[in-house]
Amino acid sequence: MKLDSAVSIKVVRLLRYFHLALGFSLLITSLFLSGCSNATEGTFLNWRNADTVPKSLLFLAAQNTNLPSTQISAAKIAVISTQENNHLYLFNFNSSSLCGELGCLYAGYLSNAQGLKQVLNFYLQPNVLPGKHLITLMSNNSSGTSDLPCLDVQQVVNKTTLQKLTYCFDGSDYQPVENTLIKI
Amino acid sequence: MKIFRFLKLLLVSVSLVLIVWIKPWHLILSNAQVSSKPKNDLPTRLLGTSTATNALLPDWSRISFSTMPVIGESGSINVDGIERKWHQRDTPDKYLTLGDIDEALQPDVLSLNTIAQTLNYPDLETFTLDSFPLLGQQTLQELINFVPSLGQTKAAEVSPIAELLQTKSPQTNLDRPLSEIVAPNSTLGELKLNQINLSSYTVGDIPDIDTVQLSNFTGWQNTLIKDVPLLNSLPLASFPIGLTSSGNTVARIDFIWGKAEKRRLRTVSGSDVEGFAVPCSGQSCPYIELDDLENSGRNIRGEFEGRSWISGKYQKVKGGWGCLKGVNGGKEPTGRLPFGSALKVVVMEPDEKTDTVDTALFFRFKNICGATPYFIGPVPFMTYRVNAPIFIGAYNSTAPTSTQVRTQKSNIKTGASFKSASNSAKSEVTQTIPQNNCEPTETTQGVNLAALSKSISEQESSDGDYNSVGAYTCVDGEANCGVALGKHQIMSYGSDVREQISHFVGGEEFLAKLSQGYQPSGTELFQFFPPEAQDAVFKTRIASSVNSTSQEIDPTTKNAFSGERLVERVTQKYFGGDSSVVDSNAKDIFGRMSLKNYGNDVLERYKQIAFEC
Repeated sequence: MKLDSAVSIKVVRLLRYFHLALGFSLLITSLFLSGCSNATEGTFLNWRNADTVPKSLLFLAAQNTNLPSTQISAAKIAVISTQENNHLYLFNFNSSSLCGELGCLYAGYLSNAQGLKQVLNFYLQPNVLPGKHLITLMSNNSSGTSDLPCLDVQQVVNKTTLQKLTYCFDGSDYQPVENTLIKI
Repeated sequence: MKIFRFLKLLLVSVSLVLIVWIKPWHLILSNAQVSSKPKNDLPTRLLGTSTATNALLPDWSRISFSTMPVIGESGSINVDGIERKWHQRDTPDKYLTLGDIDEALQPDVLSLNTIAQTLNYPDLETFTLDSFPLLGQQTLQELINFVPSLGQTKAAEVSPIAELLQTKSPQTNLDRPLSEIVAPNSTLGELKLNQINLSSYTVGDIPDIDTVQLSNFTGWQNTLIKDVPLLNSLPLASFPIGLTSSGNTVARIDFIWGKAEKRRLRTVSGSDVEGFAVPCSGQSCPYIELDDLENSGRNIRGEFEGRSWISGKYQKVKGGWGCLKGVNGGKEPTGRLPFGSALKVVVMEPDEKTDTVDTALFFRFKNICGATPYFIGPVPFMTYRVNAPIFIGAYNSTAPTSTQVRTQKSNIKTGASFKSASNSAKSEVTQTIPQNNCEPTETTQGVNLAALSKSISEQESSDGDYNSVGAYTCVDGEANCGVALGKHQIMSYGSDVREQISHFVGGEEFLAKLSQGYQPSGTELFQFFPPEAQDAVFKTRIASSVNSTSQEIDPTTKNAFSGERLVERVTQKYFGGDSSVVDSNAKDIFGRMSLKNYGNDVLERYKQIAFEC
């Protein structure tokens, strides 16, 4: 009897482990699957004039360029509200003197309780196909590491091909995480 | 007895230890390797030189991708979800795609018919369709769009398409023309031929499919060479841009030095990114020492005397460009591109004991946004002894641009046989034109403008064709629209471009058409914006930037920009705009290189070019 009960205790314990492992693996699988779900169509940015954002932000952005102070006001800025009343400000400096072979300068600043911090500083080719947008906001954050949205950027490679780059916030900066080629 | 047994065991164990320690099999194998080093069975030809010595060159008119030597190592990479693999003992046709060689050999302008005609192959129509998987990947709509007259042909007359339609949509009336059955954007139009078994059908079952250029097929870039019927048998010299010698310079191997060598500064090896004079130091630098052919035994210093071709087995250099630049850590074996950009020739193991050196070929993968470093190899190439002449291609070329390579276009010889191809190769023996890519020196503010223009031009990501035309795009809220033109992809709405183009008769009308989205042909581009005009705009922009920047104060040195800092700052402005911050950390779209990095890279290249010229 003693032997039987010992065996049954072992079997019960094994079953418990099995259930625990099964539950854990289901949890992991569901997490992975949710990551594989189709990204929905991104939303376009609403670019505003510079006079709609705080002066301190314009001052910080101006330090990222050698533009005369009068020209920084020509910048177009998209404001993206994030959780906890934080804001992400995207700068299109809108000046040909910040454009070169690499494209034109785009910068991003995060405004939170700690103050303003630069999180994006990239050159993007501003040329877009007629009717298309250079930067769109991804509605779900594929990086999963922050509440800041990922950004989709479309770059014209040649007459037949577009390149879609996805930039996500890695906790410190926006970094390219995905690079897809699309036939036009 | 016990002692005897113990001694016997001791003897056996001691002899085992001795055998393992001495490794006698190494002696046997090393001797065998020297005497039985694999003889390279590549077909060769003789290249005449200015002396009585003839150099042995591979005869590309008798070498195809399937007859090239096999690769020595396996490997794989994954780029943007696409896995590329190569297995030891594969021939290049099994791991190279059409996209990998499109810039160098332009296979996409071939059709099955031109390949078969070049090879004098009579039975193209007997190839089964499953031997051409690219065809199976096309939708019916795509086939109707690019196969001549297919849309007007009744479905019943094209047996594989008839079976596809019968299988997937049995109620379809097959006696109607295909263009009526497959309405634009219909579900039938999305059917693909590989949804049925194609092994029972042949190329002849789809009328005129053999006349379609490969570039019309969707996804041709990702198709392996072996997966296009007969393409892996086409001699490399018979591709639309035939593989030929790039330049005619031949040197003599003066000495062969082994691994003990640690420092060589005057070299002829490198990469198309770093130039072909990359020094080697702080590591093992086995190398072959070169000398001029006519300088043998004389006390005259020639241009090669003492120059080294470093072993790429030991020294790695920067390679690749664009979105694939970072593959393999951005490094490739040091070497040369004496046959254009299709393959790199690398010195492997200079052996001081036998006074021999073997060379190998390395390939690269390429897609529309970049190319990997040349690291797919080694593919055994030619073996040389000391004093043998060795072909080094175009000397003084820091990087053979695609333009240089494209000038070697050979026409497809329809119906030409191997024999006639080798005859054409024979005529090349007399060519001994010296190559020198140095432009006349013109300096502004102490900067060598030609060297700076060349350095910046080589750093650019674009392919470098004078006849390339970009997509129609707009900036500034669609206020400025136009197309990117030529080698430097200068936008057509630029005021200096407009000025250049408007000088030509009809130039104003041409500009007006461009602003409306007109896509000019290569001929039109050459007519209204010829290479000289393209280079003039580019150089004027650089010269103007050098002059204006030299008047500015460098915040780092607190002095006016001059010398190396001037070169760096002009580069930063070229890539990032005149109002970019000095030494900015703003990066390119891939987040890899900052403006400061661009300045540093171009400065290194500039110094090298200025030094060589």
